[in-house]
Amino acid sequence: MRALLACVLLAFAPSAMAHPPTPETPHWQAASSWPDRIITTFTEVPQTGFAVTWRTDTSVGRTIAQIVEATPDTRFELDAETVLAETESIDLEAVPTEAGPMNSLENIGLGRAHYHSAVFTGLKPDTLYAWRVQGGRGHWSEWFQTRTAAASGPIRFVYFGDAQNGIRSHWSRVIRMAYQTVPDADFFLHAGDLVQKGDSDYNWAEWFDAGDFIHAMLPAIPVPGNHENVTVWTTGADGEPRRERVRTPLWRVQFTLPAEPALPEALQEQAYQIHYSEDLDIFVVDSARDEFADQAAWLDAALEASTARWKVVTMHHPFFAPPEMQARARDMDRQRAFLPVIQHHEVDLVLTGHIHTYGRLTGLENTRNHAARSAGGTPTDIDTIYVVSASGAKNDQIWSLHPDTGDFGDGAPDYQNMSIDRVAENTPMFQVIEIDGGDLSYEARTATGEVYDAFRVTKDAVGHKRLVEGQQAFGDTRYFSNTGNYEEWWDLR
Amino acid sequence: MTLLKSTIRAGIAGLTALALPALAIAHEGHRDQPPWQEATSWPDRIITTLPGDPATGFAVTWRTSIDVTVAIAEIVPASEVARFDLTARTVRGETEQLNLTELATAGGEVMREIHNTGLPTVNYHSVEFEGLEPDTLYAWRVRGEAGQWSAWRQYRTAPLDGPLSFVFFGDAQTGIRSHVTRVFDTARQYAPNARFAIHGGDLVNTPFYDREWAEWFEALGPTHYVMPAILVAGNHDYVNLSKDEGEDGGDDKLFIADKTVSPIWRPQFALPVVDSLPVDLAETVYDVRYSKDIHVFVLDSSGVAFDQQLAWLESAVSASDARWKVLTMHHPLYSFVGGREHPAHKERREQMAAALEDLDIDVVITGHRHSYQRGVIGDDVARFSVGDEQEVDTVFIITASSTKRGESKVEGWDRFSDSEDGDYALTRYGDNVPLFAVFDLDGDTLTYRAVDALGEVYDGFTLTKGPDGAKRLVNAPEASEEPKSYNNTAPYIAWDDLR
Repeated sequence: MRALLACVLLAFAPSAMAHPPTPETPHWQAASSWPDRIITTFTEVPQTGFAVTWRTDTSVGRTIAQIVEATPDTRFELDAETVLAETESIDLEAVPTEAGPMNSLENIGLGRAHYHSAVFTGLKPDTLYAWRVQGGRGHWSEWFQTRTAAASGPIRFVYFGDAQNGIRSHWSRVIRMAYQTVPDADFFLHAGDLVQKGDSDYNWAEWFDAGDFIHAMLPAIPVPGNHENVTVWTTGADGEPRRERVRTPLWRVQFTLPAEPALPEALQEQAYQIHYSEDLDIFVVDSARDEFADQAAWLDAALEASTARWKVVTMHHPFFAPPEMQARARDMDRQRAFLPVIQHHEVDLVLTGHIHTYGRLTGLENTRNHAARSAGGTPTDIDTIYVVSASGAKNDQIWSLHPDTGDFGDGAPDYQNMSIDRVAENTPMFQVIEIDGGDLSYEARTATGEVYDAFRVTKDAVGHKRLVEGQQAFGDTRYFSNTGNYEEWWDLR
Repeated sequence: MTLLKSTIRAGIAGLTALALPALAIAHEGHRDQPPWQEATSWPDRIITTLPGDPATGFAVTWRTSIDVTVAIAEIVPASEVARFDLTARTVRGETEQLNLTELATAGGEVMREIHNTGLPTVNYHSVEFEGLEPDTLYAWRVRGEAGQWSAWRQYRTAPLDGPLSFVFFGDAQTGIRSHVTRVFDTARQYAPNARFAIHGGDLVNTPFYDREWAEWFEALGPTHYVMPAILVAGNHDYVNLSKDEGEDGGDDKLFIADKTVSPIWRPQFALPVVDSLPVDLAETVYDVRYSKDIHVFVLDSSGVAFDQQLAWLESAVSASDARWKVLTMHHPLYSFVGGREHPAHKERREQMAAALEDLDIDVVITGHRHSYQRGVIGDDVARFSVGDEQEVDTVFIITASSTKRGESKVEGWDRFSDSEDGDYALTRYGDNVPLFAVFDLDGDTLTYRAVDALGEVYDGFTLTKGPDGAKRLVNAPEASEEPKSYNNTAPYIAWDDLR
């Protein structure tokens, strides 16, 4: 939420009382005068600041946050600095969108909520800060501790594909296992479809409840997906009802993200870049909106200007996907818009979601040498690595692969110089990525913490990359046919 | 016969009297119950404990409103698949009603509790999962009303043997939600794979006050979904039912028999019961033989019948086959923060010291003092030694994570030197620094670290057991750094303002 750009500005309705939750509203969904749904995100300069966003009921108008450099002392907070929050009020039942109000069946009875955000600036790099946020007077959150980015040096982060289904019941174990595996991660990246219904306050309650304090302690990089879009019916020029898909307004009120002056207003806080350090730039593309050309031009310029040692692009939709996806014009348009940019700039990693399977594909400079791959064996010269992954309870079949070669089947587009290195079905995953100078190491782990896929890439001074496979890349492939039973996720609440 | 007490003494007799301002603030609670306190038809205050064999089972306890009258949980071996839950089995447990405004003790006495005025009666539920495989990851969840489940949580059963880590927290007690949360958070970051955590007593300040337990559970967050808790009762977990002062005007009632552990203790924790001990000590005196490598013994130093507790301890320790034996209780063995020593405490300390001479206990870890002190017991140990290596019998540690702070007065250490047997040496101390302790066990080596809320090591040592059982202690470099005191740390103000 960025107040200057926000399309829904706060209108304080003095008479608007806090809406009592409907009897069906669980306590972990209902807003109160205490802060909840607290999430930390990056600002334009992660070394010297970060933003926090939280929610209350409408009884809370202007409120504040506090921050202090963390010390081991008992009363570390006595000199804390107070920062005034920006507040936005949102009507959850008639959700305002850029295409007009959307009457949300998901949110009937919920009334309005207030979202607050504070941006902490002028901080020291690589320093642990303690901070807290307030709801009503005296209704503080606990003190959380968050470390600012270092100017350079080793980085470790986690990347999740779609959470989306069974978020509270099932995704909880994935994000908690990720936290247990790398509790000191620098950030968690969520590659779109965080929820099933972008307007559903219940779904977002699930997402925040599942991550709980993790969302507050470790900065998040949220990527919008198609399920963060909502359907709005408007009247066209011809007088006929017209169906429009637009971004849920809950996205911008609940995440405070870097501004991107080069992009139009409609893409603010949805496509953005994080200059994490000298070692890493992350570019977030909003692949679930139509503005491909604007974003491709922006991405091209941003990659051109990037001086970071490693460059990661994340977007919800993958480029290499099942044939049915390849058959859709929109998906091919997206590929035509972004893939050449990514290839031209030799982006290191492209992290995606959307298709609810696991797949790792590698662009190869020379010839396809899929058969020659071996754990710890001869390094392979590579370009870009593309990953698709999913972390929620919905799991789909892998796109059709040639039964003998394990390659894309007949009728698939021509993926010359692409190697499909590892796939899985029926296995929610999280990925741990570690950057240390010219080395990047990668692990895909299951919800039980086991490593399913691994590799290491080294980059020399001129940007030439070589990949060495990890042992786990050669374990048995997990399919629906050789893993436990699967049932659709409809029953999961 | 139920004895209805119209006047309840709020002060829990401890070495530090309960400050009155806390009571004044306390009244806010029932008028404005935060969402993180209120009981609903959804499960909350969920905690895993170890009433049985840790290799093959664990217990879960949770709370709901009284609408939920059955205790239902599910468990399944955790697998990698998306729908790991399809083969889960249902386990039923027990439900216990708890009237928060008229708390009943085990002895049938009822205390009318003004702090909780207006709070409805709640139900505590508990199930015990049994017949599990050792060192195996399980997914489990618990239910409130039909369809109102907790999220699936994952929990690993104890291994039969092998390397492991565990964590110890001293008194949380004050500023629990606001401040102690960061200690718990940092501990999870520092030791994410710790197998269990011990809370060394004084978990809260006012143990009949539901709001403080809400803070405690809120501060711990998911800690005890993943790792089971071993809970020690401290003097602030005790309720004094007596209207009368102690024999000499109040001070002597430190361990008097009409005190009892808070009536909230037993409903919310499923802990082992030692049948041979008085019923008043049920779930406050027990042992957890976690694996072949570690056996934890819990005493109730505020509780009745200390002689019987020590007799039980002697037989339990002697019978133990575990490689490392840790004793925990709330009151410290040796420590000094000024003031005169309570005669009852002195008596128990001396009893304990005598008992330890014959017991093979490696570490005694306690709380109560709100400062950090670590020392050793041995035949020839030098006082304030941070030397390279020492042969020791037992290491003793006092620590706290709360915002309430005491002050170490090391000059008072001489009070222990006239003891008849053994030598006692203080190695490391520190004030104004909340800490937690992490133990790593690997065969005959025990590595200890005291860690601050930033994750920095403040103290540490390695203890190695030779084939003859002799233990050698080597201090970590941090043990030689300048001790923290009120003179070289940030200003301190008391904790009364923290909610």
